[in-house]
Order: sequence, then C-alpha cells, then structure tokens
Amino acid sequence: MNIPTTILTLIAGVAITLLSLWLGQNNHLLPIAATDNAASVDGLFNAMLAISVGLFCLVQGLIVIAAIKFRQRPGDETDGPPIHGNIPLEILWTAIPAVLVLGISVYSFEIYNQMGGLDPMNHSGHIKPAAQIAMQPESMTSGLLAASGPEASGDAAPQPNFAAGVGAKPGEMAPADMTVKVMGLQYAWLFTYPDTGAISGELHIPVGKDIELDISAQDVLHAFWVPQFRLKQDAIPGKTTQLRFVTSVPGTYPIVCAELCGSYHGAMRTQVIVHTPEDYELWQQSQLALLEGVGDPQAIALASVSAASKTDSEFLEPFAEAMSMDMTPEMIHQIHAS
Amino acid sequence: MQTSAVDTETTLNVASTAAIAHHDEHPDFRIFGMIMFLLAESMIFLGLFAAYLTFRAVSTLPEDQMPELELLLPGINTLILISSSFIIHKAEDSIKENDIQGVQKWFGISAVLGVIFWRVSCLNTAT
Amino acid sequence: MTQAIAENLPSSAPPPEQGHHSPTTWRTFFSFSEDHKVIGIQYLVTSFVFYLIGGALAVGVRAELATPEVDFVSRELYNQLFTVHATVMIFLWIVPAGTGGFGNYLLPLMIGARDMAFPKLNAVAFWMIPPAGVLLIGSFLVEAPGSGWTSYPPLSLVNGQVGEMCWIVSVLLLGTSSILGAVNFSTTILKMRRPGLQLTQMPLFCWAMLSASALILISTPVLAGALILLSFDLMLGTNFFNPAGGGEPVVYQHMFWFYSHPAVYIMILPVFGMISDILPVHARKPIFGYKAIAYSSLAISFLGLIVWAHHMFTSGTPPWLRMFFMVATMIIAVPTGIKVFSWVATIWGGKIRLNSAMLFSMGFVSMFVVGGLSGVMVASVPFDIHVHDTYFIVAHLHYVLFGGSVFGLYAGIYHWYPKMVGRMLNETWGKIHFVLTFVGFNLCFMPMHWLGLQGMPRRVAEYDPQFATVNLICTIGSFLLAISTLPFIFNAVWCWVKGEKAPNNPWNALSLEWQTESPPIPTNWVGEPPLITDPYAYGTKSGRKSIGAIRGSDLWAAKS
Ligand SMILES: [Cu+2]
Ligand SMILES: [Cu+2]
Repeated sequence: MNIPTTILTLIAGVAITLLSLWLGQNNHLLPIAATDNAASVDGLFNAMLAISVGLFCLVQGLIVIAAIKFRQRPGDETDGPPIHGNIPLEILWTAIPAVLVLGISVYSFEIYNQMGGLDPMNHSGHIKPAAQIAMQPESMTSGLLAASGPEASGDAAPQPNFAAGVGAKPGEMAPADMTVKVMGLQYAWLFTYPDTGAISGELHIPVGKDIELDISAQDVLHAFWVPQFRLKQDAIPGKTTQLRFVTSVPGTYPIVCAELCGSYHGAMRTQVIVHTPEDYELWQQSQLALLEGVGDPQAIALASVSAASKTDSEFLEPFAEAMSMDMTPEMIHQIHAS
Repeated sequence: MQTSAVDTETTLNVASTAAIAHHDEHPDFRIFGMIMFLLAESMIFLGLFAAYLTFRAVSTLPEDQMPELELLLPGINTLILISSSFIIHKAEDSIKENDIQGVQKWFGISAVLGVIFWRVSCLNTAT
Repeated sequence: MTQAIAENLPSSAPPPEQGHHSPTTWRTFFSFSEDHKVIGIQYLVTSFVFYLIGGALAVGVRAELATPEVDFVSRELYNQLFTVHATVMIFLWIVPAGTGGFGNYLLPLMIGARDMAFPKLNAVAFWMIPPAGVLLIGSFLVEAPGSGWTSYPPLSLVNGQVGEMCWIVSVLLLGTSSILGAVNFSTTILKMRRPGLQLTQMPLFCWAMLSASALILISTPVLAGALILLSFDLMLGTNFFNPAGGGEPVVYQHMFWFYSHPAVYIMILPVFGMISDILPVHARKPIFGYKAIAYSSLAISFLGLIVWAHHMFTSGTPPWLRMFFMVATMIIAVPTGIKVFSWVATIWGGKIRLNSAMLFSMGFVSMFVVGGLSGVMVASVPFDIHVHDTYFIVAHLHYVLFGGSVFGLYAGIYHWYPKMVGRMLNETWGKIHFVLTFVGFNLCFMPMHWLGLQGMPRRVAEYDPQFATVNLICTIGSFLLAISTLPFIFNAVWCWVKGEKAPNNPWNALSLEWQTESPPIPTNWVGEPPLITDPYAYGTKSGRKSIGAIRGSDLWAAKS
C-alpha cells in the first residue's frame, strides 16, 4: 500500500510490454512455414499479435481494476467525480491507434509487395519485356496488346478472363520455373502438368523452385488453400487466377478447399508434396512411365475411374485422398475441354 | 440498493424553457419521410447501375459484339410511364373541380397512352 | 396503473389520443398496435424467440462438429443448419432487437416525443418480420437454403431453387422492414425532438441510432438489388452471376458486401449507443467525451460504407483495391478505439454498481475489444489471405457479434427491463446468467482462433482429426452457452409476472426515459416531458434536484 501509483503503473506497463513482446515471438499459433514468404507473413502476424495482446491487457486490466477499486462501497449512494472529458487524453488515444494502424498498413503493404501481390497476373512472366515485344513482328505485337486490353503497357491492365492472385516477386522478370494448372471441381482438385502432360489428384512440386499455379474452377467457387504456405486463392469458374511462390521445406502439406462449394466441401481435401529435387525427378519419371504405358493421360484417368466402379453414393464417401481420382468420364472430358 | 427512493446525490439538469409547441399535434413529416425513403430506393438503382457498368467493363465480348443499348422504343415507353403520373394527377384535379369533361379527357389520354405502351412493349420484346 | 395516472392528469390539457387508449394487456402485444413501446417489446420478444431458434441451430452445428466425422446430421442438413443459423441471428435477432426493439422503445422516450414519426409504418415494419421468419425457418419442412448466409453464386444457383427462393424472399422482407424502420428512426430523431432539445443534448443512443439508420438507408437497398438479380438468375434463367452463361459471380460479392459489411455496424452501433448510456448510470459518472463518442458513431457509419471488399481479398480483387480497402478498414480502428477508451475512462473513478447490466456492459467492452483487435489483424491483406474463410474468421465475427452485440443487448435488457415491464429482474439469476454466458462464450469461441490459424476452414461438416480435441472444447462451450439462456428466460418470464415492482427510476438515472412512469403511460408523459439538456450530469451541482421518486408529471407541474 505504500508503493506510489506511478511506480505500480510503470511496473504494470513494463510487464504488459514484456508479455506482449514474448507472446509475439513464442506463440506457436501458426503451423510451420513452408515457403519463403510464409515466414514474412508470420512476422507480420507476430507483430500484430504483440500489439493486440498489449492493447487487450491494457483495456482488460483497466476494466478489472476499475471493477475492484471503484466498486460501490456499501451505503455509499454518492456519485463519482463529474469529469466530462480530457482533451489531451482524447487526442492521445486517437493518435495512438492511428499511428499503430498506419504502421501495420505500411508493414502489410511491404509484405504484400514482397509476396508478389502487386503483380498478381504474373505479367513479368507472361508478357515479354517491352524491348522484346518491339522485336516481334507487327502482327504479333498488336495481338499481344489486344489480348491484354487497349492500354496495356506491360503492367496491371486488367485481362477480362484473369482475376488477380499473387504474382512474381517485385523485380522478378523471368517466368516461373514450373507451371501447374489447378482445377477445382465438386469435390476434388485436379492438377495438370503442362511440361509432361501428367495429371494427378495431389500436387507434386520440387522444393526451392519458383512455382506458378494457374487456378480455375469447373462448376462453383472453390478456394485453394495450403495453410503451411499461408496462401489462399478462390478458384472462379471461367477465370484463371495465378499464385506464384517458392517453397523452402520439403514435406507433405494439406490442400484445403476454403470456399463453401456444396455438401462435400469439408471433404474436398488433398495434399501437396514438396519433393527434394531427386524425389521430384523420381516422381516425374514414374508419371512419364505411366503415360508411356497407357498412351495419353485422359486414358489413365478413365482407367482409374473404371477400376473404381462405384455407385454414385459410394463415389464421394471416402476421404479426400482417394476421391480426387474417382471421376466420371464426363468430368474429365469437361476439364480437358475447358 | 440503488432502488431506494431516498434523497440521493443524483442530480438533474432541468432547464426551464417556455413550452414551444404541443407534441400532440406534431407537424406532418410525411414529405420528409418520403424523401428519406426515396433516397433509400434510389440506392437500389445506384447499385444496379454500378453492377451494369461493371458487367460491361469486365465483359469478354469484343467491342463490336457488345449489345447496343436500345434507345428509341424503351425511350418512348419511359416517357409514357413518367407522363402517366402527371396525367392522372390532372385527372384527379378535374375530379376535385367537378369537371366531368376534364376527367373524361385525361382518362381518355391515359387509356390511349396505355394502349401505345402495350403495343410498344410487344414490338420491343418481339424484336 | 393507467387509471391511477389518469387522476394525475392536468385537467386543462389532456392529450387528445389519451381517451381511446385501452389498457395494455397481453392481448395488445398480439395486435397491430401503433404504440412505439408495444412495438418495441414486440420486436424484442419476437427476435428473442428467433434467437433461441438460431441458437438451437448452432447447437446442431456444434454437435456435428464434436467429432471429425459426419455422424450427427447429413452433410446437406449441416449446410442448411449453418446457413439458417447465420441468417436468423443477423436478420431476425440482432438487427431487429437492436434497431427495432430498443430503437423503437427508447428513441421517443429519450427525445421527449409521444411516439415515432410514423406509427402505422412502424407497425407495418414489425409485422413483416414474423412471416419472413416463419418462411425462413419453415423452409426446413420442404428444403432449406444451404449455400451459406452469403449465398454466393454459382453455388446458390445449383443448390435447390425452393430453399434459395425462401431465403431471398425472407431476406427481402426483412430488408424492407429494416428500411421502413430506418425512415422512421431518422425522421423521429431529426424532427420529433422535444422543443428545445438540441442534437448534442440527446443521449448517445440516439446518435448511434441515427448513424445506424443512415447505414440502413444507404446500404440495404443495394442488397435488395443483388437479391433481385440473383432471383432472376435462379428463376428466369438469366446469367447475371452465372459464369456458365458468361456472368460475373464476383459482382454479386461486391453488391452483397456493400450491404453486409455495413450490416455489422447496423448490428453494433445501437449497442454502442446503449453501452454509452448504461455505463454512466451504473458508474455514477458522466460519459467521458460525449462529442467524441457521438461523432465517432458518424465516422464509423461513413467508413463502414467504403470497406466492403475486405471480404474479397482472395476473390481476385485487383491489388490497388485490396490496398485501399485494407487501409480504409484499418482506419475504422480509430473511431472504435475512441469509443472503447472513452468507456473505460467513464467507469474509471466512478462508484460502480456491479449489477447484471454493468457486468454485461463490462463484458461487452472486453469481448468487443478482442473482436476489434482480431478485426485489425484480418484487415491486413497478407494475413487475411491465410485466414480468410477459416475458423479464425468465425472466432472474430462471434467476438464482434456475440461478445459485442449480444452481450450489449443483454446489458440493455437488464438495464431497461424495469422501465419496460414495471418490475425488477432478479439480480442473483442475472449474475448466474452473466457468468455462464461469459464462460460458455469464451470456451466456445476463443479456441476457434487457433483452429483457423492451424488450417481448419469454416463451413465444413468434417475436418482433419488433429483438430478433434479443440473442436470438442468448442462444442462443450456452445452447450454451456445454450444452458446459459435458461436462467435468463426463467428470470425474465418469472419477474414479468411476479417480480418486485419497479420504481419509476430504479437506477436514479438522469436521461429522459426514466423521468416517467414504469412502464410509461401510452402518451409517455403526463403533460410536457421535462427538458433535460445534460443526460449525463452525474455528480454535478448545477441545476441539482433530487429525483428520488419523481415523476414526469411532477417535474412538469414544478416548472409550470
Ligand atoms: Cu469447397
Ligand atoms: Cu466487413
């Protein structure tokens, strides 16, 4: 009781600050970060968490202290002091949140730019740099420009059948090392590898490579989400959206559909296997061997469907892993048609 | 407890001003309310216009295949629709003035316009 | 009651309507009454019944999620449960209870009016709600809507016409009701104030209602436009939103969220107002920073209109739009922070009565702060890309709408029940209710933050078994939450009939609604209502007057 209030306040302030800083670093709330950018997103989350914990403790602490210290004493029917406001104090608590959210905004903008969010259509990968365009024959140049809208100057001119995702790192002009076409359909993900022509129900990618996913949907909205990549993108029918990222930790991670797409939405799960370069080589060869054996990927898919000759109700019963390959011939056909 | 009716330290600012008007016959605020309502309703159309402009902006159709906004026939019908309010208002005025001929005249015009509107709509949907 | 008051009437000026008002019996509440107080209670009781139904649906959802497998309900039914749960809670409970219930009951009393500006319209607006609710819940008998309360096409176009049309018609009816209510509230506040009462002298609830009404008037019609187009797609085969026919599903999302983000503020602003009026009474201190709180309501309602696309950070929204909506959303933290800090400063140094109304108000501030802070986090685009459509969002929105709005509505009920019913609620049961609600709520929703961060998407009937334990905790919390309503229902019903009779001003409050009978007579005041220029003048000496057992008529008599 002899300790002055100022000292107590100071101690409480230091304690809250230390607690929020510690929680900001040691919260273990997020799963492992398997891409380069996932770690940056985690840094942003940790910073915001630290600020939030601090503010929460401040407000909560004041409320609890007020409830104890300023509770009505028995028999005391008097009023509290008639304080209507305090301009400097009000300016202070307007300014502090303003500064904090501005800081978070700038930080978020930085991370978003670093992720490639400001180049969401991977223009650097798709549209050749202006110098190269100039060397193309006349007809091709005009065709390119027409495709990307009337005032396409190489950057964010909206392309009608493209929706914005997350693109290349700023300054990255080279196309991605590897492109995979991703198709969401009720209730599976289908991955097509243009390099080899392989089709799979799980995503196989090599670690450390610059990967581009061209995401689309067949029927309704889906959302491609890999929690360990901190990346999510809606799959929109009739549009292609790109996600570009570099993985850093080999392993197997879940791919989750995050947009309500019907009754089996919760079962629409598969996985992404981030291979070491050697493993990836092996996997690719096994796929090529399969392709050679049967002739064309469509036939493989069809074969797997006929092998699993299930009734309609059985068709979606098992969990995600098995599901992605069990598709009706029409579905496969439509995917190839689109 | 707080419920006791003893004289407490609570205070009340009762500024005494001369009573200005009786609440019981408060003025008619229907116009004010109607303006509020119309403002709200205009937001429906603002939303629809915004949607229309977006649809046009993101449409994948080439410029020359973009459907032209029809102006003539819908324009005529819009005029008829708008004018009908005035015509019926005129007819109502005539009723209030006991002017039978006026009522017949305005209702007649209204009927003729109605027929034109109907024909134009038929033409418009037929094409 | 009514007769006793009639004797006190100044014989010179009986208000004209006084004569033909029959006494308020239980029958009145089932009639097309035009009395704002009857309509307010009709709104509150009706919406509370829908709250119980919506809660039962939520318990069904949580029971399904107690285990990772689909075992309690079918997948289709599960989707219908959460779709109708959300629609009921938003459109049939929080919006009607906050704006319709408390707005109707309190606004005229607080500004010294005899009734709302358009009493008939008011009754019409209320009576649109029961059929809309019956249609929505009755759809379970045929086929309930199952595409989420957002009803995104193309899923909503292929999920079954009957259920989807039930949903559209029901929401259109409720939206219309809400617009008619807002026309009434805004006209009443702007035009019907007691002569001499300035806008800046109104209780803060009136400011909050003004801001909420503006939002309703501006944004609800846009939702109506979207739903009309959606029903065309559904019934007439047009292709506005159907990509299979060249439509644009993302345009629906823009139109939908243009309403549905402001809807959050339509649900929370009236509660902000109520809290601003409850805290000073029970802390016996003036509200801290009246003008800052009043204008921050307006600021929130303006900013609320330009942040909708933060729900669409993964929908292919162009980068510059994402950045704009991120910054705009973050800025809302500023006016919201002003309110929170002002509330804390209001109770700081007071003589706090820790009764049920105060406990729920303090619970409101604490829980709303959690929702607000996670709101700032999800406004950040890179982080939202990770947590969008996950249980993190489910946690966030329940901290805002349950920890915020529902706690606030409970606080309002405990605070104004004596005025509305004329009887006191039992404090012990109230405290039991608070503790159960607070514990159940946090047990149910706090772990959901972790689920979402770890990788559990929302709206799933089955999930990764690694999340089983935490989901079970959430489910137990939800059951506790369901049980927590029982002491409240018992308390409210019992005290309605048998409760201790309430004095006119049990809390010794200064705002106008307490300066009349409990419950108020049909014309609200005998004679002219007193003019109260500072409804928060607790502890001041100026114009001091004991109001221990005063009635509006006495005040009036003393003045004239
Ligand atoms: Cu899905
Ligand atoms: Cu929002």
